[in-house]
Amino acid sequence: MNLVVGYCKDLYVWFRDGWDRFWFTPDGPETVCLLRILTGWSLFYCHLVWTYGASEFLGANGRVSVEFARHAHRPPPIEGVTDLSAFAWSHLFWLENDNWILLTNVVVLCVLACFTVGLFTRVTAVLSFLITVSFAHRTVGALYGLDQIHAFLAMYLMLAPCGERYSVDAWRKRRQQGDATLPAISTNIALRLIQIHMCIVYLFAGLGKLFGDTWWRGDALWGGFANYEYQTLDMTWTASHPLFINFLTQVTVAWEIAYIALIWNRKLRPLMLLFAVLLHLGIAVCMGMVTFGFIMVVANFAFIPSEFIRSLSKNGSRMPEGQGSGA
Amino acid sequence: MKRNSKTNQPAGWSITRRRLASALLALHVVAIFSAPWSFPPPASALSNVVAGVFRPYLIASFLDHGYRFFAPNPGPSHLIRYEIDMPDGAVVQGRFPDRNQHWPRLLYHRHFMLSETVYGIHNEILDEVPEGLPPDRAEQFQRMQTFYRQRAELAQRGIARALLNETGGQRIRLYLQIHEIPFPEEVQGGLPLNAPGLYQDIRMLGEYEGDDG
Repeated sequence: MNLVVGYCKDLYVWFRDGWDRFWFTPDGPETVCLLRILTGWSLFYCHLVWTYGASEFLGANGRVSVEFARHAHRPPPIEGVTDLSAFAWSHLFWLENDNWILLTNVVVLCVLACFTVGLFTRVTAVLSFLITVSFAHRTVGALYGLDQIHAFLAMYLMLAPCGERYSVDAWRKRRQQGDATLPAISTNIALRLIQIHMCIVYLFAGLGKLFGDTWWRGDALWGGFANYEYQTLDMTWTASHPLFINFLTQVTVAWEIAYIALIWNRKLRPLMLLFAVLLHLGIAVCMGMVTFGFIMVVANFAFIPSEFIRSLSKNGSRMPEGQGSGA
Repeated sequence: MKRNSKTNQPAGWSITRRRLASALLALHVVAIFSAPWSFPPPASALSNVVAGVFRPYLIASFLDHGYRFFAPNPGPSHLIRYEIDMPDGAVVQGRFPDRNQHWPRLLYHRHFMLSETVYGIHNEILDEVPEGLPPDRAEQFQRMQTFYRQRAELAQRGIARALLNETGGQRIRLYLQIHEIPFPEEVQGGLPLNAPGLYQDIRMLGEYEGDDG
């Protein structure tokens, strides 16, 4: 009996200490600040395109009408299923006039530009998250993975001091107070949340593929290469190399499912990240999803230690030594 | 940021703050896991119960996704083909997404997702009640069909109105089209990916006039 109690105590202490170390070790700001610039740019570009296509999609005569968007958030009439569509909020539900939409979009672009360059970052980070969610709820039906990744990156960056480096805020702060940036627990929490979310994304992306016979047969990637609507680079030469397609297909599934385990191993992490870059670069170049490929690579950067990014930057000596190892 | 006065290192969080943060983090992680665990079907009753608790939070923060990219299989594309009657009697034909018309690529992709969404809605619509359904299930089936027909109609009406508005047309007919993926052997034999024979109308979605919108 004592053995069992002792084991349970040990287990509790091990879990508690590991949990605290995982979440509450302060980390330097370089990684989240890099993510802010890249995510901010992606958000800005995405909304620039929404602004360009506003009349086509969002206006009074847009393809995605307000009536459809509201209906699309309602669940089917099944007994016991509650209608939670009221939670799918958007400021755009109240705007149908093209001029007002354009004016609002200009304000949105200004906010996202400020977030990208790190001006009033604490405020613009929160606003960027709200903007991302609001647009996503309104443009339902025209969304894809890009918008899903945008939403959680914006959410987690909002939790961290992501304007402490490579930003107008940091430049102004340095001029007034000198450089007083220290590693922060909130930075580590934001990075951990992005890392965990990416593991969940890849796990279910991989497990979902196990339902499909083309992934087992090994010719799923042919379905991507030979899809004219996606195609931007002619990969039809792979028709003569079925084993090559088999290899790419099954390595992709294996990598997605293994990501949740292997990405935490320090030795294997560079290889896992290299594969992520190659995979998403391939999707971007061959299937025309440059924005999606880009944001997936950006999200993977959450696994790059802040020390590494600091060592690449000119300001590398500013952080007190021995700090910033949380991620 | 606060520093520890003795070590000049950043001060850690108090135990109370850490425990509170731990509880919130644990809840959040369960929430974001429950979303793809419970959707899309098939999903266990347990996953639905857990996700149900967090659903308002997941919806409000746009985290309610299944993340099944290109799963279970990368399939054929679904497009919307249209014919627009112009005031001068001409008929304008088109299709979206159209890589020659929709630019930049992200906007093209938005059109592509919209046509796939319309297909997804129609995929839920059956033309006939399945045989052998008990009366209560048959009634629910009819309610679901009405619900999805209504959704499809709203989607199509928005698209029709937009296209009529952009072209100045009087009447439009919308068709759902499938673009099949050729086999490798066919491509090796010289079949282009956009060969006309690979496109096929699978359903007429409806006919709309300028005032319908």
